Amino acid sequence: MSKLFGLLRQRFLTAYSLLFFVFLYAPILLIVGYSFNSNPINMMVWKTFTLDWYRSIFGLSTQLGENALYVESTDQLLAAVRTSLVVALTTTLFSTVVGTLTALAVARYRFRLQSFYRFLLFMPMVMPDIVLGIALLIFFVSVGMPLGTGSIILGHCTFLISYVFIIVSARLAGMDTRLEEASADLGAGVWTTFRRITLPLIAPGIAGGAMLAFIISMDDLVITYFISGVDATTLPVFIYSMIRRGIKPEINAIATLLLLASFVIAAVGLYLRNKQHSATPATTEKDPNDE
Amino acid sequence: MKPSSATAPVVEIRRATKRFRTPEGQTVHALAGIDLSVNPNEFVTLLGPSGCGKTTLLRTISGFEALDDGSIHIQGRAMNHIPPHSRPVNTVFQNYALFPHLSVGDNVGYGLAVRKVPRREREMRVGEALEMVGMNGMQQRSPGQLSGGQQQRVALARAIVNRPALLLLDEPLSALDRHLRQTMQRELKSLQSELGIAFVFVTHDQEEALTMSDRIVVLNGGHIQQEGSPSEIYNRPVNTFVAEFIGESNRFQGMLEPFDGQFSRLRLEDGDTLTLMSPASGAADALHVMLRPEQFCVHKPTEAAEEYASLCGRLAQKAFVGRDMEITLETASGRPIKAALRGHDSRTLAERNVGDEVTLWYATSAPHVIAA
Ligand SMILES: Nc1ncnc2c1ncn2[C@@H]1O[C@H](COP(=O)(O)OP(=O)(O)OP(=O)(O)O)[C@@H](O)[C@H]1O
Ligand SMILES: [Mg+2]
Repeated sequence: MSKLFGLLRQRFLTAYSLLFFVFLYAPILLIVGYSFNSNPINMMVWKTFTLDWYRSIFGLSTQLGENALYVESTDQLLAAVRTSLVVALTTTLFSTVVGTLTALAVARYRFRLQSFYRFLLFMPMVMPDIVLGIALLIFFVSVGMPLGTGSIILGHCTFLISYVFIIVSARLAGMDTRLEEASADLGAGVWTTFRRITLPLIAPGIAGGAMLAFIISMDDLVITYFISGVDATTLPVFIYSMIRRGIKPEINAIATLLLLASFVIAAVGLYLRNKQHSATPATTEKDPNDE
Repeated sequence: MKPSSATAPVVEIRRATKRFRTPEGQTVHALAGIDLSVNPNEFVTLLGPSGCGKTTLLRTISGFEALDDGSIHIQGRAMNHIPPHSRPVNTVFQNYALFPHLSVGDNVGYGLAVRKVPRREREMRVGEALEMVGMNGMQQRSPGQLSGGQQQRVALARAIVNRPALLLLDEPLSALDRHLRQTMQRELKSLQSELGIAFVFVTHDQEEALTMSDRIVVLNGGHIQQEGSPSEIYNRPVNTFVAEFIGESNRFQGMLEPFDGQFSRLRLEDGDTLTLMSPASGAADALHVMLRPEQFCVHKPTEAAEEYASLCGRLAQKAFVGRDMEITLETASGRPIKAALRGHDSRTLAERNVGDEVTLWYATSAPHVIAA
């Protein structure tokens, strides 16, 4: 009886997890599927397999009729990708360095209004994007800063520093400060201790923060939309403006490529994390000398 | 090292004072004017209850806490403005503080690598140091792959490989089980005499302090209570705190009055009396007198050179704890007396029942008079 029940339970659990993953991934798989569908009129009706949408976004010749093509200019798309990459890489570099240094300062030194400072650093993370976007726009306009790649980078840094700060702070909080004391005790100066002990131990946090900063910067639409101006367009803003003129099959191809890029980044991240873990396994072996 | 430093103290601490402000707004006097010097090759133990300032004293020597007042000299050099990494001192931390991202070999070699010792020499010295603690051949392991006792040995090797003038050890054995702890106590002691390094060892385990130290410094409330060899501390405590803190003891308080010739009598408040050799300063003040449980016997030695006195009472408790028979006697006035009996005495007592009348003897030279 209980055996039957156990079997049922197992079946139910299997079905449940299957459904769960369908729920998570079905929309994404649909897009991937549509990106290979040659039907230019209605992407939901399968016609034949084609790579034309991919060829089209890279400006290669296609078998599609001129009127089926929607990407007006491949150059525009590539420029958007380039802007996105420039913005994301610069912001990642800047916010990772500043966020990490800030986290170190807040964790290692005592000063007045420390918890208020922490709160200020936490705020940009929870502030609604739309508020931040409008505020930044008004700020840039009122100080007379031209909108463009520079303003996007500055805008992204304002909240990405917070993300890096939070992640590196968490890592620092989990780190035993006595390790730094032990290093000093063994004759290492402040800089040597930082390089040989602190940095390697918080490196996974820094890497995690940097990766998150990169992904968020690449992905951000709302804030960027307000502060990008007319000359600089990032990929999300470009896609959004494409969609406003109707959903076109190239979008699926672009989305699929973006998806692929994120998977690669995530896979690299996971790989690095596992490597870090296997370097310090928690297993303990008994030594015969002990007894 | 200059030849003169062979006899000069390694560390000299004068009037060391350290206050902490607690978040509640109070001031804690962690060190209230400590004077202490440690000689080369000496094993000094700081002993005291939790919160008495042991760790604070170590941290001021290693440089992690700055003194509010007073001075610390190491090998004759004033240390007040020398940062921790420039002091010729190494520490074995209570939780070992091994670097989790470095192998055992790199952990032990850290101090040498920081000082730019060439790799060849470094590997050799790391091997030697690990050999001393019985861990050679484990260089490639990571600290996470070691048992507690092994981590402790690595922490020790990491400190001694630098050949410091002074090694500070903050309760290094507290995380180990009793058996391993005793093994490590012996190893640590023999390692110390082998190396010729001065050790300042912190513990709140009095047994550990008594077995390992050349000198014990008993601390309480930021003050040194007493300083001396283990037997001095145990047999001649200078105050009631030390008497109570170290070992078991029976403490009596009363007025001393002259008795028969060389003897005096301590008249206790409840009417009991204790006979003892007259102390040198035979004032008739209120006094504390201490008698250790093991100073009692049931059978009065027949051919003893000294005089014996007795205490009578009812057997209130008895417990056989292996080598000793531990009993509590209740005198007529209800005062409990703790005694630990051995051998023939223990066997005799085994036949007595709780409630029986028992007479305990003690040599009149045994009671120790505490001035304050
Ligand atoms: N950073 C600090 N801030 C405030 N008070 C402190 C600080 N460090 C220590 N104290 C206080 O100073 C006193 C001495 O502390 P210390 O750590 O030296 O004790 P200890 O003898 O090592 O005790 P234990 O045996 O428990 O380790 C304690 O009352 C402690 O609360
Ligand atoms: Mg302590």
